[in-house]
Amino acid sequence: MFDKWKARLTAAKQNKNNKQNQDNNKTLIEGESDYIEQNDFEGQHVFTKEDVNNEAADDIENKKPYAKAQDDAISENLMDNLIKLRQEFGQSADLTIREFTVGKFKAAVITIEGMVNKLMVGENILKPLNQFNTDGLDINESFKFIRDNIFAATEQDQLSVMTEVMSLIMSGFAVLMFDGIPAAIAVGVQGFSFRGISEPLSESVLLGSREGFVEAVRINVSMIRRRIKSPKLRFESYFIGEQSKTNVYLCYMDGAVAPQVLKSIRDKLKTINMDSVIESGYIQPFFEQKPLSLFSTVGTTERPDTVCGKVMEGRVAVLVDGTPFALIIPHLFVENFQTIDDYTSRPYYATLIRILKYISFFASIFLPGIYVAIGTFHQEMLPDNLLYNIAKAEMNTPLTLLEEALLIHIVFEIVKEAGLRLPKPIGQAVSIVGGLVLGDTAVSSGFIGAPMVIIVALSAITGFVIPKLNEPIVAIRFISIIAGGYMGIFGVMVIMSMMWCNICAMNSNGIIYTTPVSPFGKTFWQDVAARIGWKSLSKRNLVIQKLPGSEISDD
Amino acid sequence: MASKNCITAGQMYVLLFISRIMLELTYSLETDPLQGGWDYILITAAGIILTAIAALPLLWLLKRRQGMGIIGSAEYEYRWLGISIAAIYGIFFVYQAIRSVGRFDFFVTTILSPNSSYLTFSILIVLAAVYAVFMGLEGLARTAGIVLVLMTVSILTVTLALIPQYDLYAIRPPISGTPEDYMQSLFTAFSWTPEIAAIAILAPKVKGRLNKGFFIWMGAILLTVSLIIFVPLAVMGEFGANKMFPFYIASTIARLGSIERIDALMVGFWVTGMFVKISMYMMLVTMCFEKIFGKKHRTAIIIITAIIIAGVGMLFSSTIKSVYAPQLQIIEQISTIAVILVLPAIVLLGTFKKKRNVKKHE
Repeated sequence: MFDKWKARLTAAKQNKNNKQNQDNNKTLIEGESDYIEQNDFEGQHVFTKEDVNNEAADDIENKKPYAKAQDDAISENLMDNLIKLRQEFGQSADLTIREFTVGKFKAAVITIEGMVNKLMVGENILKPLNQFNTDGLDINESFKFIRDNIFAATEQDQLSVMTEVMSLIMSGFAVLMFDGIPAAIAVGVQGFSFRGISEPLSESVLLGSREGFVEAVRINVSMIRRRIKSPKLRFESYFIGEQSKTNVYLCYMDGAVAPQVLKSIRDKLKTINMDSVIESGYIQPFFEQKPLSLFSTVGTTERPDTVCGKVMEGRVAVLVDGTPFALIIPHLFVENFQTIDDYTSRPYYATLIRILKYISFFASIFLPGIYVAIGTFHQEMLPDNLLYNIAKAEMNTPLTLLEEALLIHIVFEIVKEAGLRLPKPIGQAVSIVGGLVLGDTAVSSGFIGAPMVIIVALSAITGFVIPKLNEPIVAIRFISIIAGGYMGIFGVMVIMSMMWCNICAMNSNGIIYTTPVSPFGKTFWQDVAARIGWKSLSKRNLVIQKLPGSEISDD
Repeated sequence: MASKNCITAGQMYVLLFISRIMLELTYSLETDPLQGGWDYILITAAGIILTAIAALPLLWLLKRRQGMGIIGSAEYEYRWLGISIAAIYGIFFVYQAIRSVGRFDFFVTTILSPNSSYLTFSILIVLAAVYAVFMGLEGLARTAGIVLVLMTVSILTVTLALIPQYDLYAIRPPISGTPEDYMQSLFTAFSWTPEIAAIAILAPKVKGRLNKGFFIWMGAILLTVSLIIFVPLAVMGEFGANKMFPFYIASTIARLGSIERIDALMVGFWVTGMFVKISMYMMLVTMCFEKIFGKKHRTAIIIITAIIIAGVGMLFSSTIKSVYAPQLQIIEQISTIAVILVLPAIVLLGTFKKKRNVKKHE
């Protein structure tokens, strides 16, 4: 991270030098002292308003939190700096300032409680400083020596503005300030605690990695890097959220991702204007073409192996600090049916499972609606004995098929929600009460027919086969039940047509959401309807922008 | 990376194919003088071939003025001509949409849900079509690709399920009508492919080779329509010919495993086809009237068109007489000839005249 900043600072410095060559008399323009970055105690470089503007144009404001505010240069007076920090943080209990002396010079280490490893602060910062002998050195020489030779840390940088100081201490750095020096040294000693890497609960697999993302974004970055040891794998860091300054990473493979896609995602990221970004779901709608659609054109995963697979195909992953869910863009409709297991199982089995998933998707949405439609309007479709059994079961219930279907689905959704939110042991009890006790007694008391319970159970189970589509499935299921109850098969099919139209009209950053089904491409046979073997699959070298109907040009 | 807002020639022909097939699936022989038999199959086939020939001026025009369509070409000659052409085509598509809604309403309320009201069906299908128009042409064209699969499955299922019951001797032998009967049937069949007019409007939004696709499309229609007429006649003979919706009646006889009747399922698939058809016509109406009133009135155009189609379509769906009134047939035949043959020919002649004038000035 620091390397990039330094490169930009160097570039800015070169610009500045060029400018200075043109007009040596205009090193500092009166009235522009607000924009001065005071790194020049060693005569290094001086920033003018122009440089700041140049950097802004260079997107540095997205890379570097608070970089816009250049009006808060670090003072030479240590006390002033500490007062300013205390004022900014108010009475926040987690701000820790340790004042001490290094030889004859006053100094202070500023950290945030819980964000740093105290042992590392002691061993790598305080202990060497206590042992440092400043005899014969002035403050500038001491500072330079300490900066270049003392600390045993891989992450270290010199800071010149207070906003940078605040940003870095809140990211787990220890910042060292000296009285008489208008600069600070930031040392990476992050040591906050986070949840250990474990199997992702929402995406369990049979034959695959047991690693899932955690809440610390840097750990997630390392998990991806560990899987793709290529210099072409790139991470771009951004800070989103006016208050939260949440660290967001874009992850992509240089050469595989289409520049237009990358630019589009960067542009959208810049349009996000929120106070806080707590979850990836907060920023997800900003990447969607139709945010009001039932289906999402942004994929989510908490599996690093899935992210790796996707970025290799030219997609971009968005990792947000504080959540284990990464966003994948562009995202296709058929990807909702794909799991890592599909690629680790044998092709014939993966194909079979895929087909079952497609059937499950339609059954989950339309089975209750079709049942209600057939039972209400088209009884002639059923074999005589089945019709007789259904009629017998429904004869004793006080509700119509439509009412029964709606009621039992509402109850089911309530039970599901209750089981999900409650603590696990109680949640299981709720599921048992809801599923077994309620269902059984409702049938035996003649409140609902047994066939309807079977239909609801089937549609619920089939819905769980594609958990990524749970939200649209539930919504459309209710609509199709109502349509089937009032209009029969006609109503259900109209709803199905509208659903297809909605899905087909969507576009995920220039990639058609329904490709390669419609528009049709040979990938349909390779990795959608079927899953061919790896020997063949590895030959195709698929990148997403090459799929049929892509609006992304090759140039 | 901006949306090109266009569809491929293949997608357009899939849209048009579904529209044409929907007409055939819900056709009635009530008003046909030949009343089924080999004659009917042959005359329908001849009608399709004749329609293909009649569309040649249009294809020539679209080739001369690539990417312009008939409205753009006419506008290029004279602005008033472009506006007039847009208005005529717009009204024609409104009429076609009304007829389609009326026919399908009649079909559904007669066959599928006799106790349901026409109003409900009209409103629901038109609302769904409005939704599709807002989703855009590309979305509709892609949906058509999926609907094509459903339609093909439904037609093949009925066709294959009935194979054991085919009896070719049940079909009335050819040349059993009078010359007047043949002429009338041919005239009717000629007007049964109004989708050609849609090519004239959609052309500017289509990438790919229109002409090559046109003949493949006509060939596919010829085969499918012949199959749809043949199956009920081969299974039911004269009985099938006298029924209002022969292919549907044939589907009621077909059995699939333990499912006693598959007709409701088949009609369910056809509903998706009707959705595509009505949506396509509404889209075309919007495209035509947008040329006249401007894009800023798009929403108003869609809503007004939807109200007209749902309201008037319902009036045409109450009885067989209102659906197949002879006056309506004549209006349909004349208007179809006008939009697929006469108007394109006039604009085509205009392009030659313009070229001559340009040469003179040079």
